[in-house]
Amino acid sequence: MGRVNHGVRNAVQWVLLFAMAAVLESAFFRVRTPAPGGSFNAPDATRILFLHVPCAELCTLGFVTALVFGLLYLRTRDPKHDARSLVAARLGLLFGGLALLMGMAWANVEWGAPWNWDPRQTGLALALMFYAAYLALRGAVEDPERQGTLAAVYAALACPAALFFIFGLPYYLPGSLHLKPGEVRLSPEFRTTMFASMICFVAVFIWLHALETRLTLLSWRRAGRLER
Amino acid sequence: MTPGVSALGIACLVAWGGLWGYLRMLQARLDAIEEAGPEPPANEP
Repeated sequence: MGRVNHGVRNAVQWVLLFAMAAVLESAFFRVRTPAPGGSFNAPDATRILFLHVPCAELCTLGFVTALVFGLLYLRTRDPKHDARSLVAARLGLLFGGLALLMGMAWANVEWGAPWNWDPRQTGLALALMFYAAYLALRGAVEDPERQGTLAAVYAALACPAALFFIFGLPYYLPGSLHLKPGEVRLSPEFRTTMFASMICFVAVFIWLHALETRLTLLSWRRAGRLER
Repeated sequence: MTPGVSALGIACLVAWGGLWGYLRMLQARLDAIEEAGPEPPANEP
């Protein structure tokens, strides 16, 4: 990467440092939470949504990115796409796990118990199991080309299934504790902070994905799995 | 705002600063390794 690109990269990362700090400051110290007795039973606990919702967003982004790079690998057979797909699936699993944990903390306060068999909560847990199985599948196959092919096909099947369990099924099943769009009234500052948080989290995802892909490719090169 | 929320907010700010610094350090090390050029594979004599 050239010096100019390094300069742009540095500038973007410094902007991200202060933008995320501003989002966190707003989320925890500035935003007025919804009035008690409205859409939420525990208004102050709604602040965790500024982290929970972006983590769930990155979980979805990770699974979709794994699908896209998996398909690119099947088309080109370039191991770099396989590495990008693997890293995206790992990040999707990481952020999905964080979203689930924060959701449980929220549910404990808002709904009275950490686990309520809410369709979306259960759907996310199922989706995470699909991707834990994806990592197990990769670990069980030694030949890199066969591993990449199987993983790409698996990602192509797992992503639509995961999205269906997280978004599709809860929308149609009755009794979901998650509020649907339009059922909740939030202040403009709440929405703005949420939107800014989601953008900052996407930037963090891109950064993490780039770094972890470089680390993965480096380890593959050192193991002789990849040409120099 | 409760003290618990304030503490959580400060903890998140500190964690973010730590993560940002760690990622920058990791990035600098990767840059240095990549600029130094390829090494022989670990399984080669």
